[in-house]
This record gives sequence, C-alpha cells and structure tokens, in this order.
Amino acid sequence: MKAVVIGASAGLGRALAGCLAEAGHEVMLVARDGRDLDPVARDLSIRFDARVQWLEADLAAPDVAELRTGVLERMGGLDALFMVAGLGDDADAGIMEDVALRRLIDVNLTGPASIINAFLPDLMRNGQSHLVGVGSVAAVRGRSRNMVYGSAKRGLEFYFEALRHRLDGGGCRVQFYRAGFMDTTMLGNERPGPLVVRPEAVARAMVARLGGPSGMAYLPRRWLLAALILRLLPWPLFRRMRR
Amino acid sequence: MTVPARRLFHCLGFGESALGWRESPDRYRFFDRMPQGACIPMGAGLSLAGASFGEGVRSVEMRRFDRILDFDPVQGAITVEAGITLGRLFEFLAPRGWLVAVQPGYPDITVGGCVAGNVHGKNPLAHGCFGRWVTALELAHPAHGRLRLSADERPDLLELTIGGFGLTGWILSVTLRLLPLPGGPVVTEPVKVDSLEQAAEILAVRKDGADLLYSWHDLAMPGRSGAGLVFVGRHLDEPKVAAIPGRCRALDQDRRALPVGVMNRAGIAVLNRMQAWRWRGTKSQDAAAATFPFAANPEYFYLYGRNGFIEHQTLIPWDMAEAYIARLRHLLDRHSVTPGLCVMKPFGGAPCLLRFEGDGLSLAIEVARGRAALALFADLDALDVELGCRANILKDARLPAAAVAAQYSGLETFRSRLLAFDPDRLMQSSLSRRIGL
Repeated sequence: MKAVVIGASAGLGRALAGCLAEAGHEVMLVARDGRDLDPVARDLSIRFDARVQWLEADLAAPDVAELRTGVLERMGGLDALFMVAGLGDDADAGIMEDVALRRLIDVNLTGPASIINAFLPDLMRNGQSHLVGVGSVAAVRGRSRNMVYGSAKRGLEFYFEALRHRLDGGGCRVQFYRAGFMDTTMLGNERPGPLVVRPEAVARAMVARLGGPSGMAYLPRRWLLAALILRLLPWPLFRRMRR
Repeated sequence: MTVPARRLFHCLGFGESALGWRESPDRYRFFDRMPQGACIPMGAGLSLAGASFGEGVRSVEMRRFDRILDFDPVQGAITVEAGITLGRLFEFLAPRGWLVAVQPGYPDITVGGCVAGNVHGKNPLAHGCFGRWVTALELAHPAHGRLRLSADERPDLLELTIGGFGLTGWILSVTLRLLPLPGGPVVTEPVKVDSLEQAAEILAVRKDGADLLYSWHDLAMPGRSGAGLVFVGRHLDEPKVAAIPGRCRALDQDRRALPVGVMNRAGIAVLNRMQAWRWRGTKSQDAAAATFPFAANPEYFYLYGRNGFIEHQTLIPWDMAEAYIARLRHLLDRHSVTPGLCVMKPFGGAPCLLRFEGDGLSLAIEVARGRAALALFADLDALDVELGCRANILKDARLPAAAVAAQYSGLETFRSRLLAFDPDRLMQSSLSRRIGL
C-alpha cells in the first residue's frame, strides 16, 4: 500500500508512519519542517527496511497542487491518506492573539480540508483506498479550554462525515477517530497523567482497523464511555467543570 | 505555543532538588529560538546529581528526539539522535550482532546523557568510558547554531562536551563505534572474599581478560570487614542471536519511594544476606539481562524511602587502595553509617578535564541520606584529597566546589574553555552551580 501521512514529524503521525512502515507499506511523510521529517524517514528506512520519503508542506497555507504533484510523481499514486496533523495552543482559553487563532483553524481544519479535496479524485479513482482522519475528544463538547482547537476538530469531523456520505458505495473507505489524550506535545509540558496513552498504541489500533468499519470511533475505546457521559452531562453540572 | 511546566525536580536518590521548568519539545525548530533564562538539557533525568535541572532553570527533555539516523552494519557504527535510550538502541543492535561498548545498567538512560556524563559501563578497564566510542557529535547552541564536532572539526569543543554535563548546549546526534556482540550468554562466576582488601587484590590481578569484573561487599556485619563476592564474567561467543531486553520497569522514585526508608543497619544486613544468597552460584544470563541488571528491580531504590540516599564513588590509585579501605572502615565506624551498597571495580581510561577516568580502583558506596551520611562524606572528601583520589562528580549530589577544585586539576581549564565558548553561560544546572562552574 502507498500511504501518505499528513503531520508525520511527531506524535501520532510519526507513530502511525512507523506502524505503516513496519507493516511493509510505502510511506510519504508530510509536515512543515524537513528537519523533522528527514530523521523520521531515515529511522524508518533503517529499522524496517521500508521505502519512506518526505515532502514539506505547511498546513496553514499548503500549496495543494504542488503537494499532489509531488506525491504522485514520487510514489506513482496513493492508496491511503492519513490526516493526522493537529496543532494546539496553551493560550486557547480565550486569551489567544488573532494570528494564532487563525493559524489554529487553518492547521486543524482549512488546510486538511483543502489537502483532502486535492487528493479526492485520486482516492475515488483508486477503487480500494482509505481516507483516515484524526479528531479529538476535545471536540465532544465545547469547553473553556481548547475552545478554537475543539471547534476546528469538530469542523473536520463534520467534513469527514460529509466525505463518508459522498464516497459511500465507492471504493474509498472513510474512517475518523476521536483520539484520547496521548503522550505528545499536544498535551503541553505537563507530566502525562493516568488517562494518557502512548501514541504508538493508538497508531497500532488505527492500522489494525484499516479494513474495518467506516465511520467515527474512539481510540482508545474506553473514551466512548467518558465521551458519552460528558455529552449527556446537564449544563448545571458541565459548567462546573472549568479550570 | 506551549508553556513550560513548573516542576520540582529530584535527582535519583533525592540528594539534590530544585524547582524549575520542564519542556519537552519534539521539533528541531525549538533549537532555533534564543531561550529566555538559563536552560539545561535533560536525558532520562536519572543521574545521581542535579545535572539536568536547577533552581529556576528550564530543563529541556530530549527524549522525543530518539531516531536512528545512520547505521553501518559492516564497519559497526551508528548515528542516533541524543534522546534514544540504551534499551531501544540495544533492541535494534542486538539482533544485528552489534553492541554499544559502554553501557550503564539501566536501559532508560539516553545516549545524550551518556555523552554528557561520560559514563562508565561494566568494564571501564577494557572499554574506557562512553566518550571513547564517540566519533562525532552534532551540537546546537543558541549563540552558535548547529555545530558538527569530530576529531577533525572543533576537536576542543568535542572534548569539552564529552563529560561536559550538558553545559556546552544541546547534543542533537551522536555517532558511535560499536562492538561485535558475541552470540552466547554472559557467564558470571562469583568468588567469595572475606574482606575489601582481598577483593582489591583479586581485582588488581584478574583485571585483564574478563568481560565483566566487579565486587560487591557487605559492610553491615560487625567488624565491617567487607566480606563479599568478586564477579568475574565472560561473554561466550556461541552462534546464537542475542535476546532482546524485557520490558523495562520505569524508575519513578517520586511516586513509589517508601514513605519511610528501611535501609538501616538491620535492614541492610537482611538485604545483603538475600543478595548473597541470590548471587551464590555461577550464573548464565543473556546479553540483555547482563547489560541492564537494574531493569528488572528498580524497587531497590525505593527502599531508602522519601529521604533517599547519596552515593560517593572514588577513583583510588592502586598503591593507595589498602590505605583507603582501612580509613574508610574507620570512618564508617566513627560515623555509625552502614552503606546499603558497596561496589568496587578496576578502572581505566585517561583523565581529562572533569571526567571520571584513569587507572585505579573505583570504590562506590551508597548510604541513606542524613546528618551522619553528610558528615561521613565530608570526611571522605578530605580523605580523597589526602590520598590523591578523585570523586565522581556526576554521582555525588553534595560534592562541594572545594573538593572538585582540590581533586581535578582540569577544573580551571574546563571553566575557562566553557566561558570562552559561551560567555553568557546559558546552560546551568544545580550541579554546575554547586561546583562553581
């Protein structure tokens, strides 16, 4: 399989690229900074003897035509697109500057939608392709923290639902995950708490579920219950959950 | 943007603590920024002194930079990012028949930490310290950018960085020469000794030819003769693929140390009996278990309790070994202190700057922290100076500046070269401030 991982320089994206390379797939890493992508590509090629390449693209303003040409030229097509990129901001609690706010929406929603849109014809033509997106449990309910991030991820999730509707019956399987807390820089610099899992665990589950059901799921699975409770929590109780 | 998190850091053993900031980047653009205030790189954060944190200092964890950048399976060389742990590196190298020559006993330690501490492994006599196996480094410093260091490029800075306690900047990547890994098990045979002196004699004689050579002593018994075991290990070369290390159990003393320590004289006596019993016969271990003996039992460190322990490792010239041992025994009695651990090994390498290297006998003791322990260690400092010994700076959380100045002739050179490279002294730690750097 030829897989493109958007947001592959660190965290879940890097872990996912590792799982794909280990399983013998050809991987194209995409992220903002080649200085981060090159070590990942070298590491995976050396450890798994896999074909791993990389391309730079800034999700805040991606040149999607160039990215698409680059991917198709270097890989000669694609079978799977993983949209893993995400950006958080510690100030995302109502104290963010406008530039940072716009960047947050661009990287988490506008950029991903625009890249998926560019690759959509290729995915549809393929006949047996995968489109996988990653959202967050922060998008379950609007909270005083991750205000803009949660909104953008919720938007992305909505777009994925629409994609699933559009691509239903064709060859492209659309999967979306609400990922729980992982030990990545998205968590800030705090020590990982008990709910935090390694991104490798989530990545492994994503690869294992590739042929599985379309639609939205929680990873790790236990977040389903937590999210359900959070969703159903009446406002007088929910408003107290502020930090 | 992420904000650094406030955190109270402790070194292993709680010998040194400081309230600082923790940052855990995963992209290279982090190193483009000019930091505000003092910083220090942090590997696993497991050293016995406050080398990776300081009061008000930003500790920058390197653990997310852990990739393999280059591997030469013919010549036996590897280039890795500094945050890769010895355990992960072993996992990659062992099935391919290679081994990092010098490895401390705990697999969570990072390669960057090994370089900054110029650590020793199980056979410092034959293999020297970690720095001997480093052929090149990439260093990043806010004032100088990214620098390549090797024998041909900035050799002075390479020398300063190996055993430089992270004070020259961020070590980004390290190129290491490797040793072929023998396929067979490590067979360790314990030799019973009645005293520290007897062990020192055996270590002096048998120092050539063993792959693993150290002694362990029980100083809890009346008379403190230091009866114990000398371990002589040999790595057999049989055609068999080496095992992979088992799951490493994380060492988390902050959360798991007993509320009250049990390492008093009686507790130590009991523990020593158990250890002597466990180690009584010839043992055959796979390479992974022999390389990382502490992976399986981090609980040992928790026994000292929240009050912790301090360690003192001294490099004694061979002709002073007997005198040192006699004086040590006397001091232990005078201060009524019983070491929870006493280990000796023959040492090698060449002394340079602040590195713990050179010919001699290394003697390390670990004692429960307290007033008596501090008084004992102060006397040991004086003894070290008197007998021409040197204490390991990275292992002693209270070693005062005066002791370092008296024992290390390279201190002034180290200080002036560091100042010449970094006049603003951006990298600082509890350790660097304590020893006056």
